[in-house]
Amino acid sequence: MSELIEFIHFGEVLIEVVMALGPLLLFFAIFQVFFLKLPGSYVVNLLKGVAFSFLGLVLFLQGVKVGFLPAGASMGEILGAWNQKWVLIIIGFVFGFVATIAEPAVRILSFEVEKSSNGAIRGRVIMITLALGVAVFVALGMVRIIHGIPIHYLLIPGYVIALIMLKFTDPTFIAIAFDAGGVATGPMTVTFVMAMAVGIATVMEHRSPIVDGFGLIALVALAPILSVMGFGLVYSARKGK
Amino acid sequence: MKATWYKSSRRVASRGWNALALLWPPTISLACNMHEMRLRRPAQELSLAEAELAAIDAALNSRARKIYMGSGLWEDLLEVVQAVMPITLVVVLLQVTVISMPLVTFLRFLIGALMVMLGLLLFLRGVKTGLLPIGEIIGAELPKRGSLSFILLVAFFLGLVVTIAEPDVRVLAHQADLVSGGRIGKTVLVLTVALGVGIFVCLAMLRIIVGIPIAWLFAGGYLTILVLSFFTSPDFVPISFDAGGVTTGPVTVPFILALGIGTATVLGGRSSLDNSFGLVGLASIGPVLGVMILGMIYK
Repeated sequence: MSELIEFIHFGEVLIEVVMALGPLLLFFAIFQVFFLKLPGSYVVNLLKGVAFSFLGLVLFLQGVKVGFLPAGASMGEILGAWNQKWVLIIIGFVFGFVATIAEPAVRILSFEVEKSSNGAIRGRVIMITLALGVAVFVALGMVRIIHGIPIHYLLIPGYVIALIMLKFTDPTFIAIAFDAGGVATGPMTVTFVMAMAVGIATVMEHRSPIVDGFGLIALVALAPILSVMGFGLVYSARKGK
Repeated sequence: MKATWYKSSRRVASRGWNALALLWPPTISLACNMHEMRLRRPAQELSLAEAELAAIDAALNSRARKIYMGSGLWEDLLEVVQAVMPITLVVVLLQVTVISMPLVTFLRFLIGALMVMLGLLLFLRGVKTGLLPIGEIIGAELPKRGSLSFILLVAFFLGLVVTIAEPDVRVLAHQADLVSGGRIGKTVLVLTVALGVGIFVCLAMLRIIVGIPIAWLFAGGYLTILVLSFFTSPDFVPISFDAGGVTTGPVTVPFILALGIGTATVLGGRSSLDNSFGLVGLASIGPVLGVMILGMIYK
């Protein structure tokens, strides 16, 4: 049970978050001194927010790293040894969905979309569309690992379809869709889902954990581009009627 | 006046402003005021008058309060539970039925789920009152400075610095080091990815200002990626796609998102919603291209 104490070792995560937040704060400080000159009380409020997000992110990342990562890897190894491989596809779908729902940046994007569109585009709808896209593509990623399909066979047609869809989709949804592609590859999906994929690839024969595991991120980044643009097409068509 | 580049869009913009101002009074009218102020005042005059400052302070504060109260602690708590519960329940369900992972691993997962929930709660509240307003204020301030080269320079440096600071980029650099058998040093890769982000954040800002259709940029970017993927070393294809994903960390995303929204609301032109998004997506094309080109050089 001494392994449970590992949660206390926050050091590495702490440095990561400080390094990521540091430059932004420095940037804000330069802007504040030379250009913005915002009143002190307001700056204090902003900094309180930054402190909250700092603490929150440290807790979140540490929880994912020490709690979710080993669980994902362990589950992957157990699942990879099963004989009924098709179960992996269903499990990939389910975890693709639930991991995306728990992704912090996905929440922020949905929040900003709803706010900027004055509620015309519901944040929740964007989030679910995004998560469904990721779910389908993680399932496809599982098919790929089981049958050893090269990653090009999925990525190239995927991006060609995306290019074709660009011609028909409303610019707002194009922008949101590609942002969603960047947002979906956050700490929860990358760590948990990838740990599972690597675990599965490790126990299966003739599979390289590096190639099969890592290719999954590229699929997760492509998925929301297609699903959100698809949603945009439906949305515009309904609005047109 | 130095800034002539936005004049053509000004006329179109002011029409949009009035419509938007009806929908979202505090921020938009603030944005309108800043927009007008910029046109009347010489660009050299940096400090704001007392009254203007107080007005901005009031507007910003009421905005922050609105967001804060709009999603109170109870709603945030509910959102976080809705976010983390599904994944937790699926793992628990699998654990009790078919998978039996070691008990320690399972207990650690449960503690981890609690930490993730508490962390997400703090993070979401913090981002909404800290990082998002900071990004939007800076984004709204940039066009006020007048000169196009200043905006582009700031955008470039911001992309560059934020990427160098991103922890995931170092993990990627390690991967590339491994795949290339040590031929591609970590510094070279980190710099390539950072330059890629810098150049594309710059392009994204230019797009908002000049009004290039976003579909062209994405089509051009991804067509180039598709073509390059046939010429680069096959080992580099997965790494280069990963490079596009790693630069969009949970700190970078809210900030870059807000930056684009801030800039777009101040000078967006036709429709500020069209221009508000896309910065994160465009920023992730740069590193993919950069790493693919690296793969071609080191082939």
